[in-house]
Amino acid sequence: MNGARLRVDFWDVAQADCSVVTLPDGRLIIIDVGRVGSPLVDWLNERRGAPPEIESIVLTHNHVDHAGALCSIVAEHKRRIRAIWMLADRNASDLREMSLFRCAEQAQREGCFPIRRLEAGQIIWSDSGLDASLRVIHPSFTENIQATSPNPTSGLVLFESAGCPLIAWPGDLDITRVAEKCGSGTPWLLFGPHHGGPTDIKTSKIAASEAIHRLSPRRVFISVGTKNSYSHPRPRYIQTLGNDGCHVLCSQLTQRCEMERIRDEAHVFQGSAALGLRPPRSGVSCRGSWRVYLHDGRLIPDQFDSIHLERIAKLRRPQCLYGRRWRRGIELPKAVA
Amino acid sequence: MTYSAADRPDTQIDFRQEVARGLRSQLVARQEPAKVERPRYMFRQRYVPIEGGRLLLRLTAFPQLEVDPATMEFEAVNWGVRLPCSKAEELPKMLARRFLDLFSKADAEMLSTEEEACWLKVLDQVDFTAFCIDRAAPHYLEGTLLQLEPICRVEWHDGVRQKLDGSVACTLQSLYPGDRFGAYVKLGRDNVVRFIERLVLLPSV
Repeated sequence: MNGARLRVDFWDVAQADCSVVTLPDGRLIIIDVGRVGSPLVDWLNERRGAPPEIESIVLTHNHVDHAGALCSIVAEHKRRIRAIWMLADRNASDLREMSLFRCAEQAQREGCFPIRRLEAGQIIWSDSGLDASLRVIHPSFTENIQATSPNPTSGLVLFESAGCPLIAWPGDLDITRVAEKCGSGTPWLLFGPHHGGPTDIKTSKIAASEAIHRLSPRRVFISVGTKNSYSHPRPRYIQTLGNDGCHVLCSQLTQRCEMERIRDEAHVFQGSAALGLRPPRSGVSCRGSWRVYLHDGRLIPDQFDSIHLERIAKLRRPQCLYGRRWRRGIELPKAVA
Repeated sequence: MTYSAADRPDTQIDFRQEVARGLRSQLVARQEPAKVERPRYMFRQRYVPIEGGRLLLRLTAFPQLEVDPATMEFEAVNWGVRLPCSKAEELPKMLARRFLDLFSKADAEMLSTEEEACWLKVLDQVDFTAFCIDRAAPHYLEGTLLQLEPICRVEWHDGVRQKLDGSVACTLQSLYPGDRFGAYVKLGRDNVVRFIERLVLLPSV
């Protein structure tokens, strides 16, 4: 499934986020770059012979799991980056934040690329031939400058084709906020949010469940690390999605699914390797990386979905297939069946 | 010597059954000749050198070899590598070649359907993560030296604090605690620092 088609890779970067949109002409739009040691850096470094142009790097918010590898990318590829989009809620007195973005700010001063503010209404990229665009729908200017913590003001980036929302990247935004901002336009694919543990799924359960029903995406890709201490992804979130017929894919295996595999480091499916990408430096892969192609205004998943499904069906209690109940003959999520 | 009725061997032979059994075995033999068993051997080597041994391909299990007695060739099971038995010593090289071939094609998205199936089987037999980590170039990172002795401690630009091994720490001997630096850092599994090179001092924030 190659050729000059737009494709989106959802990278397995353990407990972090990273997606890459590859345009038909080979340019890249990177949405979040992952932590220090991100496999995206390895992949880009191996392309020094024919380096791709980086149209934009979009940081949904300024946390290390979304922006940690920015320094490594900028140091190696700053002459090929056209723009960086990020929130303007950085605290100038926070030395840690300052050092996280020092490289990018220096490159901006050198005139390599501009750093643009990520706010609602901006169009990061559009192509009239493909009838597709990538635009920001959250936060607004005032929401951004009034922000006290990055998570509630995470950028919400929407990929649309023929006027239909196809993919939403909400960073670490609450699910109720995502539903509110998406309005009636339900994205086919939702990325995360917040590694499958949106904050409001715990604090305001009913509102969060209603928001999930309202959104009802067909697919959800959860970028989660095996070694995460936050109990991500939340079973309640996955089950609510499953009840609505959504097919959930987790990048890595978590302790709730099968402890023995984690101990033996036995990957379920190495999506990163199968797709010619690079694996993360930690964790046990469940789906690994995942890829979708844009074809006639629709998204088509890569060819490994059925193999992955066969393999997760052999797990002891795969959370994405209703956990333990899967073994008791409960019907599969509609999208999977 | 006395025999009980139960111990006595049955001397009643049903000849019709015997004849039928004989015929059946002949018929089976005519229809489906017995297959020649292909003996399987284990190739007891789990590390395949690549790039002259600088890089190793770690196999998760010993490769299985299936020998075809008719042609005296063997095939590495799930690898799609076939060699004459007389050239068994070339197997590590052929496995390395096969792996690199599939890896390069996967990288360039040029795998055919058969190759893709083989690549998935190969992936289940190798430690792909270790291969990619060993092969990866160092990443540029910035950090602050917190302490040099007795244990070297560094805080990286993302706020992660790490203790460095003695061999790695000696690269930072010329720095004082509190110094900010940039360097190319070779990262291993779980982001453990393997070595640091091309050190530069940075102005303090």
